[in-house]
Amino acid sequence: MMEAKQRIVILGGGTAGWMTAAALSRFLPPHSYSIQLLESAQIGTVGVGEATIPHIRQFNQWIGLDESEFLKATGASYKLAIRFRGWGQANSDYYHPFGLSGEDLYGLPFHQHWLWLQQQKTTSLKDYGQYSLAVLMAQQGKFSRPAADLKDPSSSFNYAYHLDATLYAALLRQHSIAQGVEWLDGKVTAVTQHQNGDIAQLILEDGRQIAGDLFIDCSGFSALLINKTLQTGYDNWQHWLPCDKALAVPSEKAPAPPSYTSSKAMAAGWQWRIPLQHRTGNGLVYCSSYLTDSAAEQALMTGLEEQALAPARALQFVTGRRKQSWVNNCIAIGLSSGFLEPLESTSLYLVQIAIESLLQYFPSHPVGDIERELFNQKMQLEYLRVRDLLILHYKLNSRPEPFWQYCAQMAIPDSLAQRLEMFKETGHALEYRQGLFQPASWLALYLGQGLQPKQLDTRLGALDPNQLESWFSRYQYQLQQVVNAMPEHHQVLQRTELAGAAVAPAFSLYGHRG
Amino acid sequence: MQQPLVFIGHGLWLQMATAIVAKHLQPFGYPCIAIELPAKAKEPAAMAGGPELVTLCQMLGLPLQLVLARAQATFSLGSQYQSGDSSWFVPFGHYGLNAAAAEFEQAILQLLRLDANSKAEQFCIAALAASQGKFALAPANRPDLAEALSYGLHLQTAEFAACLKHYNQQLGVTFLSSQTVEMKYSAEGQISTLQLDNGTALPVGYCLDCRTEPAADEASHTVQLFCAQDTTVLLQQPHSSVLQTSWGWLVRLPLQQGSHWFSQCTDPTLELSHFRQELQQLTGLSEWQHSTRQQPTESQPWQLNHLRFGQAAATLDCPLYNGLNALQYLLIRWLDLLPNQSYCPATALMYNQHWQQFQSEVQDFLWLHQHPLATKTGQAFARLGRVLSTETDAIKAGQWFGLMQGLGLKPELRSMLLAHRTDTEIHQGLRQVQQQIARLVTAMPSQIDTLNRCLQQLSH
Ligand SMILES: Cc1cc2nc3c(=O)[nH]c(=O)nc-3n(C[C@H](O)[C@H](O)[C@H](O)COP(=O)(O)OP(=O)(O)OC[C@H]3O[C@@H](n4cnc5c(N)ncnc54)[C@H](O)[C@@H]3O)c2cc1C
Repeated sequence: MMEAKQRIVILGGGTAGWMTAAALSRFLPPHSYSIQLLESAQIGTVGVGEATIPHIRQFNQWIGLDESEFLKATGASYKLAIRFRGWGQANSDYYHPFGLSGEDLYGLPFHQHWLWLQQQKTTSLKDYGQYSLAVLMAQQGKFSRPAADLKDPSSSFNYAYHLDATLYAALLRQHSIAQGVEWLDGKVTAVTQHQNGDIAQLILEDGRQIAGDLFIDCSGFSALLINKTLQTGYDNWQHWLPCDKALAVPSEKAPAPPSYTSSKAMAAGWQWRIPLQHRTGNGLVYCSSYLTDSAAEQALMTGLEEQALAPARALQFVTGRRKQSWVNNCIAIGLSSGFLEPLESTSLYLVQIAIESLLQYFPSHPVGDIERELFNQKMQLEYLRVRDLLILHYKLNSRPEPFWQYCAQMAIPDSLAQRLEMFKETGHALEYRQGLFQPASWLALYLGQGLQPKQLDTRLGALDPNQLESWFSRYQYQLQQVVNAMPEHHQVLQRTELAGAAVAPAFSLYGHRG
Repeated sequence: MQQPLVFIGHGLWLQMATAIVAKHLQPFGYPCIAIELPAKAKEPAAMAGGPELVTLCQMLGLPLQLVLARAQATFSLGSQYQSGDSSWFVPFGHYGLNAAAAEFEQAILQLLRLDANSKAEQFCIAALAASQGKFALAPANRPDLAEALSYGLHLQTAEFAACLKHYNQQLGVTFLSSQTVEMKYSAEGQISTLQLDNGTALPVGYCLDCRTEPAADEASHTVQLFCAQDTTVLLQQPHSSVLQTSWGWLVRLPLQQGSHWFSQCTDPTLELSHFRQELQQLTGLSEWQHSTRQQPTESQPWQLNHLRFGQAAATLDCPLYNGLNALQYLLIRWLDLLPNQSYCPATALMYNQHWQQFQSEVQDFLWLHQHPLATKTGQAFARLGRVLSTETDAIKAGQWFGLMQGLGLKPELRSMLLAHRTDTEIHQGLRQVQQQIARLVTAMPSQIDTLNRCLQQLSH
């Protein structure tokens, strides 16, 4: 007898829904699984989510998306870093690059040497970012693909994209449908459950009933299945990340789109700028207790570098995470599973990790506790580790505005407090095996936002500062030579047909050396 | 002038700790003083170190040939397990030829599910080489093979300790000996001086305490140890052997001129005569030495300037896992952080948390040997065939996989990341790898040849 197909229903056709559909349809054999994606044109999608981190390249490759096709279809530009202005202090300006800075020397991390030379008042010492290839490239508008050969200096960085979220979803839709996904338009108005709490059917406004065995909730902030139906609680993190509103507005394209996302601190939040090939995405993330909506709109519109193409769109959110992402036969992916503001462009990464974990721990019917537990643990760890780095941006500041003063004073999670304290004690940053951000990211922030350790590694005292200084100068000069030989970012963008020749992406924020 | 680093303890653990730290810190002007104390219990005559031991020798600049010659060492590609009728190999290296090959282990599990005659070892170069008595150092131009052929060493403990002591002396470490050592504390609770039995009071920056025995008032549990020496030379076995007994496991480490057996039991109710009888049945040996020791429970090794690394590492030390690996981890991790010699509570806290992570991963591995399905790791494997992600390198991915599939855990679910491939495609892919591995192993020299070549290089 033929075994019945397992029915997978994805609710939601935003980026999360279509990324899930593309990946599941790529791997699950159609003779054993049917995949339906249901979305509501009437409700629409959140329509933002355009800055990414390098892992998206691996995702695209994983689902069989060619890079040139992707760049053309989504109007994407390359991204090497995030530039932070006004974070920490009103006049600060630093980059968090997708790459490493410097190299270990005499068995000690590069930043220890840099801090030590700074203490010695070494005159030729440059900003920390000047020892990072990715930062130099981003600042000088250059772009070239990273190398896989670890001896090549270009193996010390990675790149991501700025993309048009709506076009990306459309591209993924096209791929998914070609791979057998059934696409439905309709609005869910009711949900039925089995006795054990498992979701049985989605009832649509027009009376249709969609039955399934496994439901993926990609319904965005409404969290229709995971929360409204299954009532999974939410950990609210607003006391640590107090921004709760955003405005988004597209503007005309920049003549030479920079290869970095901009994040500029404002009086009660921050403003983003995401340059695409055909337009620029802009937005303001702010805390409504400290800034009125009209003042926010005014700040955003006056801060635009190009002409606005539409009125600003308002969004509201509660930063935090669903207590469990997988409950019964329902897995929440995307905004339905939690929200962390886009300061480090991590949301699509979290979507990607959820999809990969789902495939790794893919259940049989009925679902077992083990796969559910493993998935939930994995997602919790990823969220918490991203969360801590985001909080750090706010915590480390000496700005005068009341919002920033609140952030400087606020209590922070123990996990972050310990890391921060450790850096202050020793100047060291500890890596972790799982989770996104490694010491290179923490250091970019600590140093970029002006945190100085109380003491440095005492081994440094045995070194000759003059010798070290010349090494620094030589190293920086060599990096600059590599950058000089690179083409301009906007020229590379016009030659996207060469993109397919790229080396296999590294699954690290910092490239093959990272 | 940096404050002195004072090491206390005895035997190999003391020498190893001193060598690692002195090599790193002497050039930066840290005075290193090692105080040799009498051993409360005899150190085991032989030990097995994993690939981290080989890395350590490289880091210290100790030529492999020298270690092989002085410590009668042999190579180890992993452990050959035997339990009743079933046997399996737990390699240090990975399965397949490409460490990053997605879902390779899942493909093996899929094959095992369909073909009862297949064995995971066919797809593991270390296992295949070990079964044929082959061993080669991967050529410099094949870093991929270096990982697949990761190896450790079996060696004579006392001789290796002597070799390291000589090394330490050459580095300029000061050696003192004393019957006792008394710690004097500052008002803040730091160790200010160490008082030796001849009245010398040594000022202390950090005290690296390599003693393994718990102090009388500290938590510990009693373990019974059995060991025996066997004159049979097993150079055709570049691996350890692990046999299941009624109380646990019996481990055999082959050296150049014979081999050593070890077993331990934590059950105080078992009769000694019962052990001896079973040990004799399993090995044919009647001369078994028995001893008891107190195993400490140390989860906070960094306390102010007192680094209780010996005790911490000893919590994991047993025939199935050499505490020296843990000691090495503790030292290297500490060197990564050692920033200054003042009080760093947050750093110590994070360090201790990392250590607890390491400890729990090793304990999990050991516990799997007794009750595979009582651990989360075993349950996850039995359901999904997945090895859980770890935060440390305490146990290598190949070891987890090799052990769990060897113990007979058969995953209920197959990998969905392979579901779009037919069984035939998966078989073909695996067979290709298997053939490549078989060809590589055919071309490999025997361990005997490799050993001889290394020893000849030394004599030249
Ligand atoms: C201000 C802001 C800026 C952001 N910037 C970034 C960024 O730079 N980088 C980044 O990675 N991420 C960013 N994000 C996050 C990112 O936008 C989301 O993670 C991503 O778009 C995925 O959203 P989603 O698919 O979960 O939800 P949505 O896009 O909201 O999709 C929800 C889907 O569910 C459907 N749906 C809902 N209810 C029903 C119903 N009753 N019946 C039928 N269908 C229904 C909707 O029609 C829609 O198709 C940002 C988010 C915000 C709020």
